[in-house]
Amino acid sequence: MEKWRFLDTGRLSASENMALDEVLLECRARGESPNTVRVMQFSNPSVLVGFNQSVEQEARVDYCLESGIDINRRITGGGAIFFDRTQIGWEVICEKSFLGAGLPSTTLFESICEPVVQAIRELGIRASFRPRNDIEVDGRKISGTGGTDEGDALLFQGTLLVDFDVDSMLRALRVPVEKLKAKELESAKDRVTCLKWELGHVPGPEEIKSLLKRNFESAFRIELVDGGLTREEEILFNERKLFFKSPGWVHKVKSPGKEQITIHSIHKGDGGIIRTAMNVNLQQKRIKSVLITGDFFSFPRRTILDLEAELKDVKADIGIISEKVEHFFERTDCTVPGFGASDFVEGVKKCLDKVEITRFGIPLHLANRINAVNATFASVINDRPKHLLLPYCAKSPDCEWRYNEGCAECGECSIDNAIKLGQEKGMESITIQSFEHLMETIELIRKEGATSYIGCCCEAFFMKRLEDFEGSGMPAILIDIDSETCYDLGKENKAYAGQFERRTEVNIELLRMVLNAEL
Amino acid sequence: MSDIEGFNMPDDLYYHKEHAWVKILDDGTVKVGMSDFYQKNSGDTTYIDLPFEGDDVEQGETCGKIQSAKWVGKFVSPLTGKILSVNEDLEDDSTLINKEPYENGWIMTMKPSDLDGELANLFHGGAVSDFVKKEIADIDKKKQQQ
Ligand code: SF4
Ligand code: SF4
Repeated sequence: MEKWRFLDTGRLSASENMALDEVLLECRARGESPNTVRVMQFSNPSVLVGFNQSVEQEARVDYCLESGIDINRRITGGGAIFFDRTQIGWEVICEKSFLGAGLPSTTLFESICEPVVQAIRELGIRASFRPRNDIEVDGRKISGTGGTDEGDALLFQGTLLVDFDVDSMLRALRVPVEKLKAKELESAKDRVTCLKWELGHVPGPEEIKSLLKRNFESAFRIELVDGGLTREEEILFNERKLFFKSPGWVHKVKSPGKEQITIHSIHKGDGGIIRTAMNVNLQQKRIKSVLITGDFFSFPRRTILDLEAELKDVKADIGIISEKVEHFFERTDCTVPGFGASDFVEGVKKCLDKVEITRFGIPLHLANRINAVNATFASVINDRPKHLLLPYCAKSPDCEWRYNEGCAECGECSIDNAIKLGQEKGMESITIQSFEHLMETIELIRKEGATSYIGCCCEAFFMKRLEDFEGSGMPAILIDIDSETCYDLGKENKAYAGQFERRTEVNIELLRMVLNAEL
Repeated sequence: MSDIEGFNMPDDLYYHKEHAWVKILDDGTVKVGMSDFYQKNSGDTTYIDLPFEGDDVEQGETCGKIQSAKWVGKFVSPLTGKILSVNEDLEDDSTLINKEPYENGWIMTMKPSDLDGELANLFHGGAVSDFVKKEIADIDKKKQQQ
């Protein structure tokens, strides 16, 4: 039976662990080191970005600094991961011919994941390999993986979540969660799992390591012999350690734009609301990741998670996406009562519509704060709307016009600027005093022949009244307002009655961009 | 076009064991890309680190990186020579390697320094089919063992 080395490197810093990956692969490629299964832990919680990812786009750097979380870069592909102190990393470094593949194929990934799947099953958890090369339990990820090669050797590695600190993960990584609302935190938790949640207790690290060892031995038909670093590895490791700590390595890939922006949309279907949040790669016009939440049930429960996985790395093209989503529902037998494939497509489409707004020179983080109803942004712009609707909550609380329609344009609040911007474009401004007043106003301007309008209101109001906005049938562009809204403050009932006393701000910069938008 | 076990491996090309193809152009320079066998197995390319124009590279030397969903792979030059140009369109859309491996998905052009000598190290004609079949057999063998 072939003998391999079992290398337990214990707890090391992120830079040391990453440096060792390179050293072990390089020495194996040169034929100086034996085939190896390594297990590892981290001395500090760490964010590890994939080889070609940019730190700014993937990590919340400030939060990591404050919280003592290390940031480093893997030599392998795949997405950014959060490695806390309880997790166990495993990896295989061997000659390619042993696994019968010089190519990174699903078959190869499955061969290497199989022993880990078996080890988790031995603990009594129904783990399985998911073809996009992760290990999951009932649709929830328990081990993420990635690999690379050098000469005739390959390195393939994965994590094993033991007792996972999801809250820190969500704060450390820029996952598509907009404002870390409690509800979104909860639904993100549905997407991962760990040994503790499955078992109710935490198996000791030694137990897990020996389980992994045994299962690699039987699946690969090898004997694993405990061993340390070779002399050459030791020397090379000491040389490389510093480089892996340097900004030259950690920040090797500079973000093409700036930080990652999550775009989100809301769609109302017969069954209720679908919220879609996604990260896109603007250069490659590709979806990086999607998070779909809402008040729905799905059968089987993992449907939404599978759908999200399906949309990862897909071209941001609505034709391709609708084909994928429709095919997904046909193929899998999954159902989400009250919703059809088209509802999920619509959620994605609304996100992509926001990406389209960037064609008008509006940056994505601001485009994200624009919602178009009953038409696309472009068609409302082309229609050259004649009415600008502004919210009373942006008026000064002590202004005599606060609770009356109109404004004396005294310059005390952002309403004045907004009205002037509108005037430059020949638009009539109307201040909206309550929800009923809004509905009446839409009817009124329709009678006057208007076919669209531009409005400013907080996004919470837009979401809550989506049905009414859509029901009015009038195409509109709605721009989010600044500062705390009555919803943030729990005063929406007072606001409904037109009696909210705080002052919000019309986002003048964004309003100007929209009014000047031209193709 | 020549179909080998479902992979499109055109007859007029030469193939390196790390899956690059070589097309000999009329002026004696060559065009290089990744084969259909490579792209079907590794899936969508998510990122490419292109080789550098003007660099001198050797046959078998790593001169770029190709990343698929979870794998950082090396791009290995199939010949020795000078890199004349690289396909910058791949920076906007690296999946051209998947969509049009032999057309718009090309990676670089080169002026080879020992074309006749080195072509002998590449697969061509009947040898391509043996090469692909062996690669498939290796993958299948591993599958059956488990
Ligand atoms: S600008 Fe108009 S709304 Fe604002 S305080 Fe002056 S009068 Fe009131
Ligand atoms: S819901 Fe409240 S904060 Fe939002 S626009 Fe209306 S009054 Fe202003």
